[in-house]
Amino acid sequence: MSTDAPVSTVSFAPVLERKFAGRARPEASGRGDVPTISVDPASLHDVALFLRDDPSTRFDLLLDVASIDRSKLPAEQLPRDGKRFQASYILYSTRRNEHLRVKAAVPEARPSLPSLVDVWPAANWFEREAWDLMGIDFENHPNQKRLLTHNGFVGHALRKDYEAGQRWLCTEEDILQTDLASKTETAEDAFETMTLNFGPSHPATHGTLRAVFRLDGETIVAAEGECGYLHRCFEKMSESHTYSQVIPYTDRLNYCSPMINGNGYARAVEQMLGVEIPPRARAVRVILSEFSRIMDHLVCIAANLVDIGALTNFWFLFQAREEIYGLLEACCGARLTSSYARIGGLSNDVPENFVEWSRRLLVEVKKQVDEVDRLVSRNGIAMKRLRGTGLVTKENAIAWGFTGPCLRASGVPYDLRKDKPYDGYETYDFDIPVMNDGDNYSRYYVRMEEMRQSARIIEQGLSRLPSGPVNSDDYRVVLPPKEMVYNEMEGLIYHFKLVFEGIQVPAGEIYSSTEGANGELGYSIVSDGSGRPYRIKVRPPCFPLFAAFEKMVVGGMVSDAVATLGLLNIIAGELDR
Amino acid sequence: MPAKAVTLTVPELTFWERIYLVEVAKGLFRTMSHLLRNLLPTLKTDAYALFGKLPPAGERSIPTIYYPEEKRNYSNRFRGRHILKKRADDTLRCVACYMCQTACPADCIDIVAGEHPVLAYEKYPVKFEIDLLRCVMCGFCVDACPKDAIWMTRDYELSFFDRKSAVYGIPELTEKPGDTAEGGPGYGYRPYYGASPMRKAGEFQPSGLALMPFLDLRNKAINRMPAPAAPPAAPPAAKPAA
Amino acid sequence: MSDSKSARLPVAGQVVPPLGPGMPSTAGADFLTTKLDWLVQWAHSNSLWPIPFGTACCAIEFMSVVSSHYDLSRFGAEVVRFSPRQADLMIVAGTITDKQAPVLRKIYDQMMEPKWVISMGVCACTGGFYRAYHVVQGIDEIVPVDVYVAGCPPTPENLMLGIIQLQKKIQSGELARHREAKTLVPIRVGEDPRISIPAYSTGVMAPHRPGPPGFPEIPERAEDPVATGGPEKRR
Repeated sequence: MSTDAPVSTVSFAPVLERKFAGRARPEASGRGDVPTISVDPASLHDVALFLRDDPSTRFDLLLDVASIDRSKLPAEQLPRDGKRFQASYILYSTRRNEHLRVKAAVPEARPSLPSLVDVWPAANWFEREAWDLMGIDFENHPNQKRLLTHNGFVGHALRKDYEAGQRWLCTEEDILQTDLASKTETAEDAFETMTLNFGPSHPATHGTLRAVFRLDGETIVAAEGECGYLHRCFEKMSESHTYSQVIPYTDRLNYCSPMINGNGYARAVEQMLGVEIPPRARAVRVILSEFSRIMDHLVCIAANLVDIGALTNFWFLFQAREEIYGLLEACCGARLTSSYARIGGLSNDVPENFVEWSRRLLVEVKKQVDEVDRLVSRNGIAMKRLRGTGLVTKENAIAWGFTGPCLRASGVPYDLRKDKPYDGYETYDFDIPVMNDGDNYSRYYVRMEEMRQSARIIEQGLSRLPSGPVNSDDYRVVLPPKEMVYNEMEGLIYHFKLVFEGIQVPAGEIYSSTEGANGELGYSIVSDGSGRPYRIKVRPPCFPLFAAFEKMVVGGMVSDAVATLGLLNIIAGELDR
Repeated sequence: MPAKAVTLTVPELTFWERIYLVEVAKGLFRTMSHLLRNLLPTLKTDAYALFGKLPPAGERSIPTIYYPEEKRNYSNRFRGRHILKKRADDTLRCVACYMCQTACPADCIDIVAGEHPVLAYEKYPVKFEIDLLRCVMCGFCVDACPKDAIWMTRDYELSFFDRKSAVYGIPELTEKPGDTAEGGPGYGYRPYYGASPMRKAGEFQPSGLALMPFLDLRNKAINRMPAPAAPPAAPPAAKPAA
Repeated sequence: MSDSKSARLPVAGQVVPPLGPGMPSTAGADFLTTKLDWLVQWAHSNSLWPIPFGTACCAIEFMSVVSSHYDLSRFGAEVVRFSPRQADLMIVAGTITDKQAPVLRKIYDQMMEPKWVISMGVCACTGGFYRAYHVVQGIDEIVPVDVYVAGCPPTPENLMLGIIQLQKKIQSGELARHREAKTLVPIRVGEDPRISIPAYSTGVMAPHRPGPPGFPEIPERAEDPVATGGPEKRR
């Protein structure tokens, strides 16, 4: 755990200084963290425009808005400006392949920031979330309402003075009223259009999403999406658990590919600690992440094909998925919620027959995928249902903050595994499938191809799986091996400290991102130097996708909206956290 | 566009694919072939079932698992119901150190410690309860145990008619011969013995880097082992310097 | 809609109260109704039509249960209905949040009698490890539950075991009584003043865990009723 002195890594600092002297300053960022600038709230809007449009910056993709309440930081870390709240905008430039964090602090008395919805449309829901959970007010926000919690909720849950167990009654009228539903009654077109409530308990919404459509005939003229029906308070819960205890919670974010979440989280904390994990652990993480990606795509395609009426494929694909479960269970001990990654390595070595088993599995999976490919990809009905529906242009996809397969289906080849390689992805030979149409068919087809590419990565990983330990031997981070705990005093002390106090992560901040199955999965972690995270903000890949859903479906049919929703692959667990 | 990306194009449909009828026949053939491939073994299964038997594993091609007559073979890392291990003299190995309770993210373990009559054992759990309807089966209690006292089994058959009966106390949790007997669930997740290979080769040195902050704290840490007589306001141990 | 009592049909298996001393015996009539009850219960238990109220991870495992490896149709329960009117077994799979709670209650109320509820997974049973501001601490705050299936998520076999146990209970005629005894907590609809605010909404919960890391102090725990009252009382 060497300590590097924090330095500023902002590449365009001179331009920034020239344009906004004093109002926007580069800040030193810690080890592994993204470059950071700090902005005066009054000029935030101007700086945002500059960052988006200036040729030296070109940050066109808004990834996340993370908010933090700094009032309970230890005395030496308390902000000197005395401002309680801070919003961190995470940006990415698809042209320059660079991340950036923009910080703006606001005082408790008037926690208000200019809204950036007109700069990046993706900011809309992120700002609503920040208002809902942290109580930061965004001026000129078009629709600043509660998003994740219900309307009967009082207070802002992620503020540090909010009791984690304080619940509020939600009654039926608290959830049923949406603007769209109430407007029909008064508008003069009341006889022309009708309002259709879709979800949250509807088979095509996969449980917990809700949309309200205004229909003219069967064409959608306006739509409003609503989420929060699975808001399980991951972020608040993580603040009262040690860094290790957060790992089981991460499994339940994207429950179709839990391995990727755990690996991403563990990597973020490892970056803060400066811990290197052994090569075997890295390779196993890559292999299992790719298996999880295949699984996620299998569920997405299977469920979506059921929604558009092709039930057979569900059974074919779930057979393949069930086979993968067998392997994952043999590694980690549970079918779905793996909890396999540990900070500093893995909970256990892979089973002895791991390589042969995985190879056999790949053959099996490919067979089922090919079967579905033959049944669906050139199927006239599927083409008519999927082609030309749910259109998103390249510009819109970037503006709305798309990442992952949905962005690649719109023609932007952004994939963290290639652009910001981690865990040794740069040593694997694979392609990034891209399509230019941006319709549902592209999203389906890109996923099919990605499964094959993942299989390629797995094959390479298996052929050169290094031997050796799977855990770092820094026993301030990793639990010591059991024979050491049982027999030696040092081992017992390390063990004791780790269990009771948790891993002591040095104070600091990080944004660490992983290519999840749905897109960029980012963890913004703030540590105050104790054994528990001060604040964790997850950048869920689904969140901007579902935010854009209400725009994408307008002009289409209801049945196309179902197909669109399925192929955006909204996983409520990570959407609502 | 960088070279890494491969642009896919939508497959062009041929004339025969566009008129669709041939494709319908082909698709039906494909699904029917799956059906036929599964049908014959299924009939065989049914024939066996007439006599109340299960077909031998080799004679089936359908993947269905005939639960509850037949059970899936989970790996020996499976995280199921917990058991408390016993010493050779039939006492529980648990010394009520609260490690598992602290490590549990779900807060589902409840322990009350008592003084053990045998001096060498010092402490034992008067009460050890796991609420299986809170437990998320993450295995952190097994990892946290310093005495090899809590393991998990492969027993996943846990459904209850009320919430009270899901709270397992010491009698239910204590390891029974049936847990490992033939036909029993068998051991599942257990402590990881993955010794560092460097240590095995004799190369491991308790590195100064890792150990220094603790050396002076050692006595303090040992004295602060939880005990009923511990002073209530013990100061937290100093953080190791990064 | 929320008044499910008026919609309740006479449930098979109800115990006929004794007629009192000196009254003529009804043994002959009992024989007929018992046989009829048995037939009805047998039919009920072998044709459970589930409505999956799937919200989270458990819903993914429920998909496994209905797919080919586990094949729920072996228990006559493969007819998964997404309309509550056509279903008689609600499988609540996944975390129920406060925002979702009225929806769950409404769908339960829309189901026809007789109806049963399986709570799948620890989140639905007790809230699991989400002791948090937006999570219902067990769906039995909202609807009566017949079988609790533990696990996070439960293995498909475990859910099947729950269904088998439910079948047995239906066949024994026990479940009707069980449900009668259960008090239902109503969800307030509109401004109706008659229905009180259910207990689950008051936000009274045990503090999750102490803030600063440290060692547990035993004397304090022993006196603390929350800590010693068992997990049932912790909520």
